[in-house]
Amino acid sequence: MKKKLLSVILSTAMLAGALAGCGGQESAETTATANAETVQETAGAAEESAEGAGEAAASEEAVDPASVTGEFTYWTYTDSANNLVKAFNEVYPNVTVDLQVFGGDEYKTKILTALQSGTDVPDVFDLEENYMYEFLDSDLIADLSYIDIEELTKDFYEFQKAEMKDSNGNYKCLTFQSSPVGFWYLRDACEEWLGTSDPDEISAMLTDWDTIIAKGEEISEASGGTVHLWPNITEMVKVDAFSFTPLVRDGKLEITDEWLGMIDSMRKMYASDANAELGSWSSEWAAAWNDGTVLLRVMPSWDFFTDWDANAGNVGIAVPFKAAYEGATGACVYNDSDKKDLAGLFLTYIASDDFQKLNMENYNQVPASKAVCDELAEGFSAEDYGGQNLLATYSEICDKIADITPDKYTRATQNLFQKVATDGIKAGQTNDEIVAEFKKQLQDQYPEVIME
Amino acid sequence: MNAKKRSKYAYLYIAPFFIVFVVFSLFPILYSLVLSFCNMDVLSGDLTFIGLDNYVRMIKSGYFFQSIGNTLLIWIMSIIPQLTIAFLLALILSNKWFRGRFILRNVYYFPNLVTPVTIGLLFGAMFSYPGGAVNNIISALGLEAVDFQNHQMLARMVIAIAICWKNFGFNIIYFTAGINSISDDVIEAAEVDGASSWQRTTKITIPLMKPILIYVLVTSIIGGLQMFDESKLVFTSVPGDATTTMVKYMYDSAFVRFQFGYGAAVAYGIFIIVAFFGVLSLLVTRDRKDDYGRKRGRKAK
Repeated sequence: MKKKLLSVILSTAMLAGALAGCGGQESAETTATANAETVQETAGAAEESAEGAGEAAASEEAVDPASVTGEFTYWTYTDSANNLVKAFNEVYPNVTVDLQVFGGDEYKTKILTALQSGTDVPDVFDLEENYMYEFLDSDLIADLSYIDIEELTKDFYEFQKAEMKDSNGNYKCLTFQSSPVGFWYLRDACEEWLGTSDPDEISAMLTDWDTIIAKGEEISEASGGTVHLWPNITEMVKVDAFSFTPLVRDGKLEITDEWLGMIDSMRKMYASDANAELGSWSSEWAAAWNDGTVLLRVMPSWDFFTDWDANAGNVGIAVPFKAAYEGATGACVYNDSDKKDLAGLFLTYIASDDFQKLNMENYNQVPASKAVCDELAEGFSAEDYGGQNLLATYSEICDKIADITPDKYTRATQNLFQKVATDGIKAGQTNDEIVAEFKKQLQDQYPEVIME
Repeated sequence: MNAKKRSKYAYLYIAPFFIVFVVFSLFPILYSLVLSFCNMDVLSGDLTFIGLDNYVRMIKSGYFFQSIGNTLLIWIMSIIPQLTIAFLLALILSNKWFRGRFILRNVYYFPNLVTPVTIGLLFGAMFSYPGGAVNNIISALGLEAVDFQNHQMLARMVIAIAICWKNFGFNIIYFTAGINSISDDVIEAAEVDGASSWQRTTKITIPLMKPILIYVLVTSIIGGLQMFDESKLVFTSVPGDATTTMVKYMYDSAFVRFQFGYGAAVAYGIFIIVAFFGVLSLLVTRDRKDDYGRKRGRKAK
């Protein structure tokens, strides 16, 4: 009998030990449930306030923000979300935001698993532009018309409105800040080699690829081949791609002449002395820009480059001759969430002019709202950028960005084209060979795409 | 307590392992098999049965076969120096006269403790062009800097070096354990018989270490063919996807393009390839003679 008892105890202990990993999750769930219950209890009295949250979206002045109570979960992949939550809590001090930040590839898998299983799904979650359009068509993501998103975003840039929609034209996410791509340069280096550090003059100087190549060759010659205007041919695609008709539209591939023209420009740049051909984000690329031997880099507004302290006050941003954005973040609401009202309230807040202004003034994030951007641009001067009116520059770029609603192929095919064209040019391939390789790889990755 | 009753308790003892195995291994394996015959909707998780379409797509994909070739090339370039260096160092470090062998054994093992992400970034920085540490040395020698990333074979070689650097210390531990398990009596008897150091190594140490050598070889094949982290992280983009390994191809299909059904089919393709090479290595290295030097399978007269 003793043996039997011992065996049962041991087996139970072993099983408990083996499943210890699951224990944490279980207890977390229990805590979460307890919290939810507490919130519900709290919200018992404040049920009207939770209900009112939705209404608050429409008429904020009708509800005292301090009276809104409750808790919701927010998942993201970027630490900057702490700024959002902090700002939100200053207005809504009695709403608890359970913010969870997951880094790297882990986030994408985590949010996907949560949505698929329907358990522990956050009420609000961020999606990154690279994979956002795989997700947006799903019914699991709320149509934001319930918070009157069209009214909230009526002053947003047109491209921002376009990128917030799914393939049916419904608003499914909120992109609350802009990420326009500019030509970043160091003022002293451009003063020396371009003869000016004024962003308008530099923008006027670089009007297309031919002028960039010609100017770059001049600089290379004058510097004895030590200074290059352009970093690498890959970054050319960042400038052009969003101005072109997307390669795949409605599931069909169409390579227009503009894409073929871009290969020609890339080839010409590759052969010229204007090009340094240092891989983006490599240490050499960063070092060359920092020591002024590569004059331009093509970066979105959220870029934080190396040696910021050393370069503060010496940076300028010129307007590229084609406009694009990169690395947008979309905030979504889980459709089956029982905290949709609070989630809506949160999105309403971050879409508001107040937050857009605060996000720019405190955290240097470009507003998604054109009205806010233009308002702040009046007399704006960025010390770190040598006193440049950065908002006027960004607004000029944002105004020019095409209002294309991407789909899951848009960025993926741009990236693939960029890679195949770069590899092909380096290998000495013709345009036809590059296009054939691109089609072959596209077919391998997305066999459902209809080829020309 | 009779034997039958006792056997019931045995089931109870082994139950924890089997429960964990079923939940965390067997179920995912079977689920992946089902998934490989289906298309999966990214978010709802709904499955649509499509028969063998994913497998047909895989077999028709030149890029999948290219990834197999890349994997084998990188694996061969890493496994040969890895096992050779590990074995030689294990031999040296097993000598009792060698001072500081315990410290060196630990030092050689340290790279195995470094995370693959760190190794990827470290080697990427070391071999970057034109200003990485390696190119700085090359330039200091008066030679022209080498663009490792944009040369297919050199890029593969760098990844092979990274894998070799990470794993050779781990194999030293196995080999040292194998060498130390050989009885001193055997070695001393050989010494008395006048066997040279070379003869002792080739005629005694290596033959007696065969089980360890086979074990290390098989585990290296299984581990090596599953290489992923280094190929993903050392160089972000190599012409012609020359460093895309089988597992990276699967990862891109499943977790970048969200084609989980196809990713599962590729996973099974990888399983078959790994199993093939595992069995092949066992067949090649199996002992065809018994303890008396006779061919196995021959009936005693």
